[in-house]
Amino acid sequence: MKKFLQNLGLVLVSTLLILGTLELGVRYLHRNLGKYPKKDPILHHALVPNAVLERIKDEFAVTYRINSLGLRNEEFSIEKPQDTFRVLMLGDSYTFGIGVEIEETFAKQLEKRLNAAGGPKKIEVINAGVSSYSPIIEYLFLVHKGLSYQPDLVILNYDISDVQDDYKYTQIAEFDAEGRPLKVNPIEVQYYYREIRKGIASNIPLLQKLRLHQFIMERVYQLMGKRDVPHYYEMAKVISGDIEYDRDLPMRENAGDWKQHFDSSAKYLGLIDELLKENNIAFAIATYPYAILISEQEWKIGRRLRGFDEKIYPTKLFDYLAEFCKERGIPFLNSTPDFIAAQEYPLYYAYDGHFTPAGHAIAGKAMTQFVLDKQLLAPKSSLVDKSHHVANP
Amino acid sequence: MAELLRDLWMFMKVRKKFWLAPIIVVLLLMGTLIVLSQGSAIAPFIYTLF
Repeated sequence: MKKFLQNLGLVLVSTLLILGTLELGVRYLHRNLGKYPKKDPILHHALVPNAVLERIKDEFAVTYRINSLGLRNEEFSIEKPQDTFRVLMLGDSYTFGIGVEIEETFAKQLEKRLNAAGGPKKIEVINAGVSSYSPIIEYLFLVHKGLSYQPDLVILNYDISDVQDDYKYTQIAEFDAEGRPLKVNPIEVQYYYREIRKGIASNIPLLQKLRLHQFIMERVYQLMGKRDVPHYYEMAKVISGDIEYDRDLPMRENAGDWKQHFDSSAKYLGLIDELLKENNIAFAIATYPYAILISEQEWKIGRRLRGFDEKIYPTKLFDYLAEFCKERGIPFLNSTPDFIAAQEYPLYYAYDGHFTPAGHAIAGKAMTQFVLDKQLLAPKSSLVDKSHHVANP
Repeated sequence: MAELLRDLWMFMKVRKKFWLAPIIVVLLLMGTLIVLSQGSAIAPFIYTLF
């Protein structure tokens, strides 16, 4: 019996030793993984200042460097330098630049191209894109941070997922008596496939703290996904068209009439427009297509997991956006024709779905042309979009 | 592969070093999991913001 207990103890020590060694190994491997967004009492979530985040996936390997102001941008002085025209880019993960280096993002492409075009002032484009930001948070970002940067021009990059994001954030936001957002509480909102994660992940606090546990569970998810693509496809079909679960609602053929949800989002765009007018800052709205809007081939793997077939899908969202901008006299860019005309492939990562460097280059080029055509670098007083009727000046 | 495992087993049996078994089993399981899960990228779908 004594011998048996001795052996059992030895096996236990051996097990703990190997698990401890692996835990240290995973921690070393992931030493630069870093935290991505942190909870924010006003903005729901925000980037961690000075964070360096390595993301190594099958499709890309990039490092995201966050500056001391919590933006994916080089360091810049809050006080705007003399002879500088400052452009503030708002948006979500596409603007942030998931999967590409900072100099490849369309924000930095715009900066490079505008400076190359020459002009009386140096052009500085600040990338304020953060994953899953949408107009309600972008309004709060401007109030609490963005305006202090004294931008001359704000370009809001409206993403297709903003329709659902604004719907979700509205439910956890607090408003003043006039309906203006005061804050979006940092409460988790339900996202795609969250239930699956909850079903698999451990609820034991100690296990949740172990990096080895996370490492193993991520690979279990990957195994499940590899095996279950048809299952995910069917599951996505079931939830498609439901604003509660479906981030792709504006592109679903079975979505029904969802314009009310866009109108809710447009309310926040209107508040941003008013805020910027009050501060004499020029405002423009840009949007861009997801892969399934322009090609049967792009986003080949990811589209199946989101319940889409190999065909091109339509969306009414861009028409709604164009109409909204026309009514308010806001310059509007829809870069879909530029993506369709592009002769390059791929413009989107096959699984992830965000722009490849080539996709960012197309978006950056289109935006440069838009800024120049609409004379958005001109003094604010001459910035009313003359090609559109202003219904509510 | 089977031969290597047999050799390892015989080594542990002859030398009475069964405490090595957990190390070998864990390493084998981890290796298998990493190899099998390569080439798939389902994880980003199941992200959390925080």
